[in-house]
Amino acid sequence: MADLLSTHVAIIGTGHAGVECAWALRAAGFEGDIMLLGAEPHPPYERPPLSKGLLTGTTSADRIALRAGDTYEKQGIRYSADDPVASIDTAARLIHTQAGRRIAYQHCVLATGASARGIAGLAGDHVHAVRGLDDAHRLRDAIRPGHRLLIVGAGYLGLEAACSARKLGAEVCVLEQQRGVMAGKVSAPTAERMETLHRHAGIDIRHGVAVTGWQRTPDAWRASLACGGVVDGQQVLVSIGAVADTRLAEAAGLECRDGIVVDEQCRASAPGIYAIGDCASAYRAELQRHARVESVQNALMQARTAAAVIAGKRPPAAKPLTFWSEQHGRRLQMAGLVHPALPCDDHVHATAKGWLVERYQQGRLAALEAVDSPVEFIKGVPRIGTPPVHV
Amino acid sequence: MPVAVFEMPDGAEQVLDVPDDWSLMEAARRDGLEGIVAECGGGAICGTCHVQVDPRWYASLEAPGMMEEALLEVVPERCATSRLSCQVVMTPALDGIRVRVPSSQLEL
Repeated sequence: MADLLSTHVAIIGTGHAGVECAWALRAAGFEGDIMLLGAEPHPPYERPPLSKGLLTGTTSADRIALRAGDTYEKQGIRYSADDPVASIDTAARLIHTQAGRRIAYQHCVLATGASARGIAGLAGDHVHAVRGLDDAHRLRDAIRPGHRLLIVGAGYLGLEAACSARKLGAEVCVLEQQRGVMAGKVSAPTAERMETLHRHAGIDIRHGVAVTGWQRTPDAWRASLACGGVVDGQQVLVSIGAVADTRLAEAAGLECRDGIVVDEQCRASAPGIYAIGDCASAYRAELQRHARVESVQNALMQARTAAAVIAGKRPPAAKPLTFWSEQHGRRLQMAGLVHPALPCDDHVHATAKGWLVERYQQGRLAALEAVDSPVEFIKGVPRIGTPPVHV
Repeated sequence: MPVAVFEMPDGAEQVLDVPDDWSLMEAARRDGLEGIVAECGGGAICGTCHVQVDPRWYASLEAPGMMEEALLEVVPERCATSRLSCQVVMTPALDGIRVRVPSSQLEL
């Protein structure tokens, strides 16, 4: 008979969201048992440095740990690593792990995150993604000065990795299907200026380019392009977005639509179940629909919300979503969400070190972008959702 | 190992080990200290790791950079010895440094 354990709260997933939820429960005065169930062998760590400092070697695995090893015990949080959850029985409120543990719970928080989207036919030793620590170490070991890294996808992750690989002396070519970099994420003026920085750093960015096929040559992967021509790379990084890890939730019969569907209190469709962070799809009034949001700040906010609800406290007030990226030593901060189907009126302002873009939709400030302008950003965020200020 | 003493808004004191060359924010985050949010991971851009340094220790610190100085202008409860803890890097001379976590940090 497998071990039967019991806990008041079981948190599945040990990224930013899961770890914050455990700590936020204690901060809210929750005194019950908390179990934090990790699938990876590594203790919980920060993910944003994986494509930046960890890749270039300016930081190391021990420095990006989210908490020191002994703090879990001090907080009365039972943390276990390397034992993925196999299934959840929401009627019996019972978790089964792959190692055969059974865990009875009162509340179960899903913080399972998201996995890299792959490309059919593109796999093997020289193909990479960056979602976890092992991925980042593997890519770092594969990057060689003078060798070419082909990056598929010019989103935040792809561009950050491009900067890091370039710093390590690799040739870098970025292929992007859409027009422009960070398409749909940032304004055209910001995209164009950031693209110029990448070009000046010697990164070959090709956007509006469709790859029609991949072929393995003796020493490289070869991408065939729709416009004709081919491009080779000894290594390939696929950074075309992430897919919510909803396998457990779907098997448990929870409502999922590009993420685990939750209400504004992070409650999923079965009693006692919550979902937070990259795997959760909450209603976003600014988009008038449910949407997943991949951002540390969102993960922390949802973690505190679920913790407050479980602890019977008032959840924190909603705040605009924020995001950040770092490319070529320039810091890009964003706040708010732009509705993709509505026109956007972008106002660009020069600042002392960079620029600020106010993005208006339907007469209201929908989003804000700031490059090397943190003060203007902090002052601007509370204005999100309000009409323009006329001076 | 050098230590830093964090005084919490309720008056409780937390003594944290801070390895040389680590920022106070990194040590606080590792310990899960409430109120040191550090959303940006230590880039002096988010202003969520604000502390008020004990005046006796403040003069021992290197002056804040331009970006930090500007951010300190907009954090709540700014005082004359305010710093972003991600920019305060431990050295042997700072062993025992005392800082206070402003109550507004707990509401972030």
